[in-house]
Amino acid sequence: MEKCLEHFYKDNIRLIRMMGKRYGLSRESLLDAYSDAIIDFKEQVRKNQFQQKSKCSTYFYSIYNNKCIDILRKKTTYTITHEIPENLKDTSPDIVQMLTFTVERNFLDTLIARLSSGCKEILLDWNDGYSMEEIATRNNLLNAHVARSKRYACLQQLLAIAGRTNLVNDKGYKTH
Amino acid sequence: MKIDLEILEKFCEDSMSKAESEAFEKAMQTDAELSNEVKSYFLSRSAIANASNERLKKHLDDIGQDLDLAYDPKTRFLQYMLAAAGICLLIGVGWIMMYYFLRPRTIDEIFLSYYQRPDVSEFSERSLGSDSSLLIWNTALDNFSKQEIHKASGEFEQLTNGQSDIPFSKVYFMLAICYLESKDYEKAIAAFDHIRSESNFTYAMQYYKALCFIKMDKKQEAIDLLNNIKHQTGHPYGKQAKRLLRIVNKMP
Repeated sequence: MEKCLEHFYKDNIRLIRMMGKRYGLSRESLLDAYSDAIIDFKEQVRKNQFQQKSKCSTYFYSIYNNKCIDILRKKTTYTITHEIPENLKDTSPDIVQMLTFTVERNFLDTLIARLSSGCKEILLDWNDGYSMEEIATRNNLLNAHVARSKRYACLQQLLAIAGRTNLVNDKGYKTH
Repeated sequence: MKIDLEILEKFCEDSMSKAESEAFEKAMQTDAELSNEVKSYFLSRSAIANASNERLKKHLDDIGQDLDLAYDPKTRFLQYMLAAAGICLLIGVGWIMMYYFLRPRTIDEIFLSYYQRPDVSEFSERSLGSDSSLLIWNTALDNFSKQEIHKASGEFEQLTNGQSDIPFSKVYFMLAICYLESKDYEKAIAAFDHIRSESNFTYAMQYYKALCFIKMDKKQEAIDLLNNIKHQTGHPYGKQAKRLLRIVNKMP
Protein backbone atom coordinates (compact mmCIF):
# COMPACT_ATOMS: atom_id res chain seq x y z
CA MET A 1 0.00 0.00 0.00
CA GLU A 2 2.72 2.42 1.05
CA LYS A 3 4.79 1.68 -2.07
CA CYS A 4 1.72 2.02 -4.21
CA LEU A 5 0.86 5.43 -2.72
CA GLU A 6 4.47 6.50 -3.02
CA HIS A 7 4.36 5.65 -6.71
CA PHE A 8 1.05 7.46 -7.07
CA TYR A 9 2.56 10.47 -5.30
CA LYS A 10 5.50 10.65 -7.70
CA ASP A 11 3.37 9.89 -10.72
CA ASN A 12 1.11 12.92 -10.29
CA ILE A 13 3.69 15.57 -9.44
CA ARG A 14 2.69 17.59 -12.50
CA LEU A 15 -0.51 18.41 -10.58
CA ILE A 16 1.57 20.28 -7.98
CA ARG A 17 3.07 22.42 -10.71
CA MET A 18 -0.35 22.91 -12.27
CA MET A 19 -1.94 24.05 -9.00
CA GLY A 20 1.08 26.21 -8.25
CA LYS A 21 0.57 28.01 -11.53
CA ARG A 22 -3.18 28.25 -11.09
CA TYR A 23 -3.42 29.41 -7.48
CA GLY A 24 0.04 30.82 -6.82
CA LEU A 25 0.44 28.91 -3.54
CA SER A 26 3.79 28.40 -1.82
CA ARG A 27 5.75 25.18 -2.27
CA GLU A 28 5.04 24.15 1.35
CA SER A 29 1.29 24.71 1.01
CA LEU A 30 1.19 22.83 -2.28
CA LEU A 31 3.08 19.83 -0.88
CA ASP A 32 1.04 19.82 2.32
CA ALA A 33 -2.22 19.86 0.39
CA TYR A 34 -0.87 17.22 -1.97
CA SER A 35 -0.03 14.68 0.76
CA ASP A 36 -3.36 15.44 2.49
CA ALA A 37 -5.13 14.81 -0.79
CA ILE A 38 -3.37 11.45 -1.21
CA ILE A 39 -4.42 10.39 2.28
CA ASP A 40 -8.01 11.52 1.67
CA PHE A 41 -7.98 9.65 -1.62
CA LYS A 42 -6.68 6.49 0.09
CA GLU A 43 -9.38 6.74 2.76
CA GLN A 44 -12.12 7.25 0.19
CA VAL A 45 -10.97 4.25 -1.80
CA ARG A 46 -10.85 2.24 1.41
CA LYS A 47 -14.39 3.26 2.37
CA ASN A 48 -15.61 2.51 -1.16
CA GLN A 49 -16.56 6.13 -1.69
CA PHE A 50 -14.67 6.15 -4.97
CA GLN A 51 -17.21 4.43 -7.19
CA GLN A 52 -15.10 4.54 -10.37
CA LYS A 53 -17.58 6.79 -12.11
CA SER A 54 -14.65 8.92 -13.17
CA LYS A 55 -11.01 8.18 -13.90
CA CYS A 56 -8.82 7.66 -10.84
CA SER A 57 -6.63 10.62 -11.81
CA THR A 58 -9.66 12.87 -12.35
CA TYR A 59 -11.05 11.93 -8.97
CA PHE A 60 -7.73 12.61 -7.29
CA TYR A 61 -7.41 15.89 -9.18
CA SER A 62 -10.74 17.10 -7.77
CA ILE A 63 -9.67 16.21 -4.21
CA TYR A 64 -6.36 18.03 -4.60
CA ASN A 65 -8.03 20.99 -6.27
CA ASN A 66 -10.45 21.32 -3.33
CA LYS A 67 -7.57 21.15 -0.86
CA CYS A 68 -5.80 23.97 -2.69
CA ILE A 69 -9.00 26.01 -2.81
CA ASP A 70 -9.36 25.53 0.96
CA ILE A 71 -5.86 26.92 1.51
CA LEU A 72 -6.48 29.76 -0.90
CA ARG A 73 -9.76 30.63 0.80
CA LYS A 74 -8.09 30.72 4.21
CA LYS A 75 -5.36 32.98 2.83
CA THR A 76 -7.74 35.38 1.10
CA THR A 77 -10.44 35.65 3.78
CA TYR A 78 -9.51 39.21 4.64
CA THR A 79 -9.07 40.49 1.13
CA ILE A 80 -12.13 39.24 -0.71
CA THR A 81 -14.60 42.08 -1.16
CA HIS A 82 -16.43 40.91 -4.26
CA GLU A 83 -18.73 37.92 -4.65
CA ILE A 84 -16.93 34.60 -4.18
CA PRO A 85 -16.95 32.41 -7.30
CA GLU A 86 -19.01 29.23 -7.08
CA ASN A 87 -15.98 26.92 -7.03
CA LEU A 88 -14.39 28.85 -4.18
CA LYS A 89 -17.45 28.98 -1.95
CA ASP A 90 -17.05 27.59 1.53
CA THR A 91 -18.06 23.94 1.71
CA SER A 92 -15.56 22.91 4.35
CA PRO A 93 -16.49 22.27 8.01
CA ASP A 94 -17.24 25.36 10.12
CA ILE A 95 -15.04 26.50 13.04
CA VAL A 96 -16.88 24.41 15.66
CA GLN A 97 -16.58 21.30 13.52
CA MET A 98 -12.93 22.05 12.88
CA LEU A 99 -12.24 22.45 16.59
CA THR A 100 -14.10 19.25 17.41
CA PHE A 101 -12.15 17.48 14.71
CA THR A 102 -8.84 18.78 16.03
CA VAL A 103 -9.71 17.79 19.59
CA GLU A 104 -10.74 14.32 18.39
CA ARG A 105 -7.46 13.91 16.54
CA ASN A 106 -5.44 15.06 19.51
CA PHE A 107 -7.30 12.62 21.70
CA LEU A 108 -6.64 9.75 19.31
CA ASP A 109 -2.98 10.79 19.20
CA THR A 110 -2.73 10.60 23.00
CA LEU A 111 -4.13 7.07 22.97
CA ILE A 112 -1.51 5.85 20.51
CA ALA A 113 1.23 7.80 22.25
CA ARG A 114 0.70 5.72 25.38
CA LEU A 115 1.59 2.55 23.49
CA SER A 116 5.14 1.28 23.46
CA SER A 117 7.03 2.20 20.27
CA GLY A 118 7.22 -1.39 19.00
CA CYS A 119 3.50 -1.92 19.50
CA LYS A 120 2.62 1.25 17.64
CA GLU A 121 4.57 0.24 14.53
CA ILE A 122 3.09 -3.27 14.53
CA LEU A 123 -0.47 -1.97 14.79
CA LEU A 124 0.13 0.65 12.11
CA ASP A 125 1.62 -1.97 9.77
CA TRP A 126 -1.36 -4.21 10.41
CA ASN A 127 -3.71 -1.31 9.67
CA ASP A 128 -1.83 -0.62 6.43
CA GLY A 129 -2.53 -4.15 5.25
CA TYR A 130 0.91 -5.71 5.58
CA SER A 131 0.92 -9.49 5.92
CA MET A 132 2.16 -11.07 9.14
CA GLU A 133 5.39 -12.13 7.37
CA GLU A 134 5.98 -8.55 6.27
CA ILE A 135 5.20 -7.22 9.74
CA ALA A 136 7.73 -9.67 11.18
CA THR A 137 10.41 -8.54 8.73
CA ARG A 138 9.69 -4.83 9.14
CA ASN A 139 9.76 -5.05 12.96
CA ASN A 140 12.63 -7.51 13.38
CA LEU A 141 10.43 -10.26 14.80
CA LEU A 142 11.28 -13.91 14.55
CA ASN A 143 8.45 -15.00 12.30
CA ALA A 144 4.81 -14.44 11.32
CA HIS A 145 3.58 -16.40 14.31
CA VAL A 146 5.42 -14.08 16.70
CA ALA A 147 4.11 -11.08 14.77
CA ARG A 148 0.55 -12.38 15.10
CA SER A 149 0.89 -12.86 18.89
CA LYS A 150 2.53 -9.47 19.24
CA ARG A 151 -0.19 -7.77 17.23
CA TYR A 152 -2.81 -9.42 19.44
CA ALA A 153 -1.03 -8.34 22.62
CA CYS A 154 -0.59 -4.78 21.34
CA LEU A 155 -4.22 -4.45 20.41
CA GLN A 156 -5.20 -5.68 23.86
CA GLN A 157 -2.84 -3.10 25.34
CA LEU A 158 -4.50 -0.34 23.33
CA LEU A 159 -7.98 -1.51 24.31
CA ALA A 160 -6.89 -1.51 27.92
CA ILE A 161 -5.56 2.06 27.59
CA ALA A 162 -8.85 3.16 26.05
CA GLY A 163 -10.78 1.41 28.83
CA ARG A 164 -8.50 2.60 31.65
CA THR A 165 -8.72 6.24 30.66
CA ASN A 166 -12.44 5.91 31.29
CA LEU A 167 -13.04 8.15 28.32
CA VAL A 168 -15.67 6.07 26.65
CA ASN A 169 -19.16 7.46 26.88
CA ASP A 170 -22.30 7.14 24.78
CA LYS A 171 -20.69 8.93 21.87
CA GLY A 172 -17.67 6.73 21.96
CA TYR A 173 -15.33 8.92 24.05
CA LYS A 174 -15.08 12.09 26.09
CA THR A 175 -12.53 14.78 25.49
CA HIS A 176 -11.73 16.11 28.93
CA MET B 1 -10.47 -8.11 30.06
CA LYS B 2 -13.30 -10.59 30.12
CA ILE B 3 -14.18 -10.54 26.43
CA ASP B 4 -12.20 -12.63 24.02
CA LEU B 5 -10.49 -10.22 21.62
CA GLU B 6 -10.98 -12.58 18.70
CA ILE B 7 -14.76 -12.52 19.18
CA LEU B 8 -14.70 -8.76 19.57
CA GLU B 9 -12.70 -8.37 16.36
CA LYS B 10 -15.02 -10.72 14.52
CA PHE B 11 -18.03 -8.64 15.55
CA CYS B 12 -16.44 -5.27 14.87
CA GLU B 13 -14.98 -6.33 11.51
CA ASP B 14 -18.41 -7.64 10.51
CA SER B 15 -17.26 -11.21 9.97
CA MET B 16 -19.77 -12.93 12.25
CA SER B 17 -22.72 -14.91 10.95
CA LYS B 18 -26.09 -13.20 11.22
CA ALA B 19 -27.16 -15.34 14.15
CA GLU B 20 -23.90 -14.77 16.02
CA SER B 21 -24.08 -11.08 15.38
CA GLU B 22 -27.67 -10.85 16.65
CA ALA B 23 -26.76 -12.77 19.80
CA PHE B 24 -23.78 -10.47 20.38
CA GLU B 25 -25.91 -7.35 19.98
CA LYS B 26 -28.47 -8.75 22.40
CA ALA B 27 -25.72 -9.40 24.94
CA MET B 28 -24.46 -5.82 24.48
CA GLN B 29 -27.87 -4.44 25.48
CA THR B 30 -27.68 -6.10 28.87
CA ASP B 31 -23.92 -6.08 29.47
CA ALA B 32 -22.59 -2.51 29.80
CA GLU B 33 -19.02 -3.74 30.03
CA LEU B 34 -19.30 -5.56 26.73
CA SER B 35 -20.80 -2.47 25.18
CA ASN B 36 -17.87 -0.38 26.42
CA GLU B 37 -15.40 -2.94 25.06
CA VAL B 38 -16.94 -2.58 21.61
CA LYS B 39 -16.73 1.20 21.84
CA SER B 40 -13.12 0.92 22.98
CA TYR B 41 -12.37 -1.30 20.02
CA PHE B 42 -13.77 1.19 17.51
CA LEU B 43 -11.95 3.99 19.27
CA SER B 44 -8.69 2.04 19.14
CA ARG B 45 -9.15 1.34 15.43
CA SER B 46 -9.78 5.04 14.81
CA ALA B 47 -6.63 5.88 16.76
CA ILE B 48 -4.61 3.37 14.74
CA ALA B 49 -6.02 4.62 11.42
CA ASN B 50 -5.33 8.20 12.44
CA ALA B 51 -1.74 7.40 13.42
CA SER B 52 -1.28 5.41 10.25
CA ASN B 53 -2.37 8.39 8.16
CA GLU B 54 -0.01 10.64 10.08
CA ARG B 55 2.85 8.24 9.46
CA LEU B 56 1.98 8.12 5.76
CA LYS B 57 1.75 11.90 5.57
CA LYS B 58 5.16 12.25 7.17
CA HIS B 59 6.59 9.75 4.71
CA LEU B 60 5.04 11.56 1.73
CA ASP B 61 6.19 14.93 3.04
CA ASP B 62 9.72 13.54 3.28
CA ILE B 63 9.53 12.49 -0.36
CA GLY B 64 8.18 15.95 -1.20
CA GLN B 65 11.21 17.64 0.38
CA ASP B 66 13.47 16.09 -2.22
CA LEU B 67 11.23 16.93 -5.14
CA ASP B 68 12.33 19.41 -7.69
CA LEU B 69 9.14 21.20 -8.64
CA ALA B 70 10.83 23.58 -11.00
CA TYR B 71 10.61 22.73 -14.68
CA ASP B 72 13.44 20.63 -15.93
CA PRO B 73 15.30 22.85 -18.43
CA LYS B 74 15.82 19.82 -20.67
CA THR B 75 12.10 19.10 -20.69
CA ARG B 76 11.35 22.75 -21.33
CA PHE B 77 13.83 22.84 -24.20
CA LEU B 78 12.28 19.69 -25.64
CA GLN B 79 8.83 21.24 -25.33
CA TYR B 80 9.99 24.35 -27.19
CA MET B 81 11.58 22.20 -29.87
CA LEU B 82 8.40 20.17 -30.26
CA ALA B 83 6.31 23.32 -30.48
CA ALA B 84 8.68 24.78 -33.09
CA ALA B 85 8.60 21.53 -35.07
CA GLY B 86 4.80 21.54 -34.93
CA ILE B 87 4.63 25.12 -36.19
CA CYS B 88 7.07 24.32 -39.02
CA LEU B 89 5.02 21.30 -39.98
CA LEU B 90 1.82 23.36 -40.02
CA ILE B 91 3.43 26.03 -42.17
CA GLY B 92 4.78 23.37 -44.56
CA VAL B 93 1.46 21.58 -44.89
CA GLY B 94 -0.33 24.93 -45.25
CA TRP B 95 2.04 26.03 -47.99
CA ILE B 96 1.59 22.79 -49.92
CA MET B 97 -2.17 23.08 -49.61
CA MET B 98 -2.06 26.70 -50.75
CA TYR B 99 0.09 25.71 -53.71
CA TYR B 100 -2.23 22.97 -54.87
CA PHE B 101 -5.60 24.48 -54.10
CA LEU B 102 -5.17 28.18 -54.58
CA ARG B 103 -2.78 28.41 -57.53
CA PRO B 104 -4.40 29.44 -60.84
CA ARG B 105 -5.09 26.45 -63.00
CA THR B 106 -4.40 26.19 -66.70
CA ILE B 107 -7.29 26.07 -69.14
CA ASP B 108 -6.51 22.45 -70.00
CA GLU B 109 -6.55 21.47 -66.32
CA ILE B 110 -9.92 23.15 -65.83
CA PHE B 111 -11.35 21.47 -68.88
CA LEU B 112 -10.08 18.04 -67.85
CA SER B 113 -11.52 18.47 -64.35
CA TYR B 114 -14.95 19.63 -65.47
CA TYR B 115 -15.57 17.97 -68.81
CA GLN B 116 -17.57 14.82 -68.42
CA ARG B 117 -18.33 12.78 -71.53
CA PRO B 118 -22.10 12.43 -71.99
CA ASP B 119 -23.38 8.92 -71.40
CA VAL B 120 -24.72 7.90 -74.80
CA SER B 121 -25.86 4.42 -73.82
CA GLU B 122 -29.46 5.64 -73.53
CA PHE B 123 -29.33 7.61 -76.78
CA SER B 124 -29.66 4.62 -79.11
CA GLU B 125 -32.94 4.49 -81.09
CA ARG B 126 -34.76 1.27 -81.87
CA SER B 127 -37.86 1.79 -83.96
CA LEU B 128 -37.81 5.29 -85.23
CA GLY B 129 -38.37 6.62 -88.77
CA SER B 130 -36.58 5.39 -91.82
CA ASP B 131 -34.23 2.51 -91.37
CA SER B 132 -31.31 4.37 -92.95
CA SER B 133 -31.32 7.32 -90.52
CA LEU B 134 -31.73 4.92 -87.60
CA LEU B 135 -28.79 2.92 -88.84
CA ILE B 136 -26.62 6.02 -89.26
CA TRP B 137 -27.55 7.29 -85.76
CA ASN B 138 -26.71 4.04 -84.04
CA THR B 139 -23.46 3.67 -86.01
CA ALA B 140 -22.50 7.24 -85.09
CA LEU B 141 -23.15 6.56 -81.42
CA ASP B 142 -21.13 3.40 -81.68
CA ASN B 143 -18.22 5.27 -83.24
CA PHE B 144 -18.49 7.98 -80.59
CA SER B 145 -18.25 5.35 -77.90
CA LYS B 146 -15.18 3.90 -79.60
CA GLN B 147 -13.58 7.36 -79.61
CA GLU B 148 -13.71 7.51 -83.41
CA ILE B 149 -14.83 11.09 -83.25
CA HIS B 150 -14.26 12.14 -86.88
CA LYS B 151 -16.28 9.24 -88.23
CA ALA B 152 -19.02 9.92 -85.69
CA SER B 153 -19.19 13.64 -86.46
CA GLY B 154 -19.48 12.89 -90.21
CA GLU B 155 -22.36 10.56 -89.52
CA PHE B 156 -24.09 13.03 -87.20
CA GLU B 157 -23.68 15.73 -89.88
CA GLN B 158 -25.52 13.48 -92.35
CA LEU B 159 -28.50 13.48 -90.02
CA THR B 160 -28.70 17.28 -89.89
CA ASN B 161 -30.16 17.59 -93.38
CA GLY B 162 -33.68 17.77 -91.92
CA GLN B 163 -34.90 14.48 -93.39
CA SER B 164 -34.04 12.37 -90.36
CA ASP B 165 -36.60 11.37 -87.77
CA ILE B 166 -34.04 11.49 -84.97
CA PRO B 167 -34.85 14.51 -82.77
CA PHE B 168 -33.12 17.52 -84.23
CA SER B 169 -31.71 18.86 -80.95
CA LYS B 170 -30.36 15.44 -80.01
CA VAL B 171 -28.43 15.20 -83.29
CA TYR B 172 -26.98 18.69 -82.92
CA PHE B 173 -26.06 18.05 -79.31
CA MET B 174 -24.05 14.96 -80.23
CA LEU B 175 -22.53 16.72 -83.23
CA ALA B 176 -21.46 19.63 -80.98
CA ILE B 177 -19.91 17.21 -78.48
CA CYS B 178 -17.96 15.59 -81.33
CA TYR B 179 -16.66 19.01 -82.44
CA LEU B 180 -15.83 19.81 -78.84
CA GLU B 181 -13.82 16.61 -78.47
CA SER B 182 -12.03 17.25 -81.75
CA LYS B 183 -11.19 20.75 -80.45
CA ASP B 184 -13.21 22.57 -83.09
CA TYR B 185 -14.86 24.92 -80.61
CA GLU B 186 -16.30 27.44 -83.11
CA LYS B 187 -18.18 24.68 -84.88
CA ALA B 188 -19.20 23.18 -81.54
CA ILE B 189 -20.76 26.48 -80.44
CA ALA B 190 -22.52 26.84 -83.77
CA ALA B 191 -23.91 23.31 -83.39
CA PHE B 192 -24.99 24.01 -79.78
CA ASP B 193 -26.84 27.11 -81.04
CA HIS B 194 -29.05 24.90 -83.22
CA ILE B 195 -30.51 23.18 -80.14
CA ARG B 196 -34.03 24.36 -79.48
CA SER B 197 -34.60 26.16 -76.18
CA GLU B 198 -37.50 23.87 -75.21
CA SER B 199 -35.34 20.76 -75.76
CA ASN B 200 -34.20 18.47 -72.96
CA PHE B 201 -30.63 19.17 -74.05
CA THR B 202 -30.75 22.87 -73.23
CA TYR B 203 -29.27 22.47 -69.74
CA ALA B 204 -26.38 20.28 -70.90
CA MET B 205 -25.85 22.49 -73.93
CA GLN B 206 -25.36 25.57 -71.71
CA TYR B 207 -22.77 23.83 -69.58
CA TYR B 208 -20.77 22.35 -72.47
CA LYS B 209 -20.95 25.65 -74.33
CA ALA B 210 -19.44 27.36 -71.29
CA LEU B 211 -16.62 24.79 -71.41
CA CYS B 212 -16.10 25.68 -75.09
CA PHE B 213 -15.77 29.37 -74.17
CA ILE B 214 -13.22 28.47 -71.50
CA LYS B 215 -11.20 26.48 -74.01
CA MET B 216 -11.38 29.39 -76.47
CA ASP B 217 -10.15 31.67 -73.64
CA LYS B 218 -13.33 33.74 -73.90
CA LYS B 219 -13.50 34.39 -70.19
CA GLN B 220 -16.32 36.93 -70.16
CA GLU B 221 -18.66 34.80 -72.31
CA ALA B 222 -17.95 31.79 -70.09
CA ILE B 223 -18.65 33.81 -66.93
CA ASP B 224 -21.93 35.16 -68.33
CA LEU B 225 -23.11 31.70 -69.29
CA LEU B 226 -22.03 30.13 -65.98
CA ASN B 227 -23.79 32.92 -64.08
CA ASN B 228 -26.89 32.23 -66.11
CA ILE B 229 -26.71 28.53 -65.14
CA LYS B 230 -26.03 29.40 -61.51
CA HIS B 231 -29.12 31.59 -61.24
CA GLN B 232 -31.48 29.04 -62.73
CA THR B 233 -33.10 27.17 -59.88
CA GLY B 234 -32.87 23.40 -60.17
CA HIS B 235 -30.39 23.50 -63.05
CA PRO B 236 -28.76 20.04 -63.14
CA TYR B 237 -25.34 21.63 -63.74
CA GLY B 238 -25.82 24.37 -61.12
CA LYS B 239 -23.25 23.06 -58.62
CA GLN B 240 -20.56 22.45 -61.26
CA ALA B 241 -21.23 25.90 -62.69
CA LYS B 242 -20.75 27.52 -59.28
CA ARG B 243 -17.41 25.80 -58.73
CA LEU B 244 -16.29 26.46 -62.28
CA LEU B 245 -17.25 30.10 -61.94
CA ARG B 246 -14.96 30.48 -58.91
CA ILE B 247 -12.05 29.04 -60.87
CA VAL B 248 -12.74 31.01 -64.04
CA ASN B 249 -12.93 34.24 -62.04
CA LYS B 250 -9.36 33.61 -60.82
CA MET B 251 -8.10 33.05 -64.36
CA PRO B 252 -5.77 35.82 -65.56
